[in-house]
Amino acid sequence: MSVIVKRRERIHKSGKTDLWHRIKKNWAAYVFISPFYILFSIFGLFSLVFSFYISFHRWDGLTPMRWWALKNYAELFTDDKFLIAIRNTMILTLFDLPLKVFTPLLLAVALNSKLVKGRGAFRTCFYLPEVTSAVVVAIVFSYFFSGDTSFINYFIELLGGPRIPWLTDRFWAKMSLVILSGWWSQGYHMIIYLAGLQSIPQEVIEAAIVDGANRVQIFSKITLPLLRPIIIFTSIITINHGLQRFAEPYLLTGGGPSYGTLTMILYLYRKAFEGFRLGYSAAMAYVIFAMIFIASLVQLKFGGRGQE
Amino acid sequence: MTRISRRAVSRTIESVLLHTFLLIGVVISILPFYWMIINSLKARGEILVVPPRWWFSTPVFHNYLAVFQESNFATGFLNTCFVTFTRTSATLLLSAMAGFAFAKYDFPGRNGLFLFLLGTMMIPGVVTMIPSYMILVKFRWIDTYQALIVPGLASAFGTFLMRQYMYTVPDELLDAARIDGAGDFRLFFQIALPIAVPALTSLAIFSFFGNWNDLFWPMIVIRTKSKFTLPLSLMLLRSRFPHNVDYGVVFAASFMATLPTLIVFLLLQRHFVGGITTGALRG
Repeated sequence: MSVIVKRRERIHKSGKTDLWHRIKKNWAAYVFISPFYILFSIFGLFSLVFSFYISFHRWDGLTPMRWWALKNYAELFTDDKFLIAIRNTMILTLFDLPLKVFTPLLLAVALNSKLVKGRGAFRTCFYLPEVTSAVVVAIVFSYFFSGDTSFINYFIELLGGPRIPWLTDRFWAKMSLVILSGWWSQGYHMIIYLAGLQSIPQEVIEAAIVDGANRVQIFSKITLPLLRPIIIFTSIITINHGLQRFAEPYLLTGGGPSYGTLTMILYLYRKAFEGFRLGYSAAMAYVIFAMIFIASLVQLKFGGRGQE
Repeated sequence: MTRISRRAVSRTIESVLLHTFLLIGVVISILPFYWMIINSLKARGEILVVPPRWWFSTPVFHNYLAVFQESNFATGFLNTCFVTFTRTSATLLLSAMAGFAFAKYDFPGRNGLFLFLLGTMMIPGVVTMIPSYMILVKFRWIDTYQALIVPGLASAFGTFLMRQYMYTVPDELLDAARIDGAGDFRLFFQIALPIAVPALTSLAIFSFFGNWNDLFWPMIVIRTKSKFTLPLSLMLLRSRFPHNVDYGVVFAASFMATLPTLIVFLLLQRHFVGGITTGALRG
């Protein structure tokens, strides 16, 4: 607490209108926070509540709303495309985990070794993909994946592999998105791991070496347990981002082929801004919100239990 | 002796393996950038040949010219510069002010308001998107710069970050200035803000990337080409000939759109990494 504030409090301590005095004396604080809270009330709080409200209505944004009770929610769970979108999103997120949680950990562990020269340069290179925009990433990867004789297929065939129908098969289109998104964000996850690794006290590891522990033991008994909170953190953001995947399928595959990469948010976007079913989309948004929330809770609980 | 040399050999092997692994990672990370740049300098016939050519026969620059002649890239670039600059500065100011108030004043309601702010960081943007859009419709702000700038200004993360940093501003300094007759706003602008420059830099870089690359929001609120931001201009350019994409031109535009972020990142990456770590430790 600031000394200024303490001094002011001392002056007004005896007064019975203490609260009012504190508010009056701290008027500047309210001025400082008000722009944030005014904007937040409009575009955050109001929107959050209003979204919930319209999720119980039928509304196209132009004509008056009609009370629709739970029909939007009921319709969601019989909407084949939404169910496909849920399934696709889950599959994509599941396949995200190796490339976003595991590979970055390997990279960080390798980079943290004392034997590595030029750590800064490596880190810079790994991080570069993160600064590009979704549109640019999609443009480059659509070049890599498009056509039978695509860039990536050329190398696969060079190694004796088959031609892969990257963007024209429902499964491989998903894999294209997973690869794109892994490339895009592994640097960010790697840096988080690296910070975690560097926060492990060196004495702990040296003591273990003195006690005769080998590399594998040190990694599995010391490094991994100490990194557990960070592994949970990266998997939470992987799942959060995975469940909210929009730009990549929108730009790279357009949700196809035959809804093979239709994700929840992409479907929501189409219902809201192409189909103008705002109430239905709002209901969808709340269902997605609930899924993200539950996924985060499960992981926190799962992660917490392991520490006991 | 043999034991020492054996250890040296195993260390060398390990070092080679580590560097190989990391170099493969680097190649994968860099390859798309390399390919973007090289192809932007190729003549049209050279881009889609099999096997792919790693180098151009003679560099051509007409792709870059074509970007400006055949698309609204320049408009998109300027719009993005303007929107990014305005949004980033305003976010910094709002976050710093709120962060300062939370760190240095013990005002009634402080803890409640702050907890509330932390709680809102969990809300995904998709939940507030439709009503925010309808608010802009009501304000008649659709297809305006305000629509691009105003809704995203209140950053809970930014306020959180600034509050953490504002704690490090010494109370003695603030008290001394107050005794000298400085008002609350002078305390903020002349004492707290200069001290908070490192945190402001981290936050500025974060907002810069977010704003520069933002696609979703401009897609929703912008209609006319003269208001397009870079991602929208790129999308338009890419979709011009869907079955016969002129990759040279598209790659040239992509590279130019990415260049500012690359420069900012390479110049300021030290602050950037600091910011990421703060963000991670929050979680």
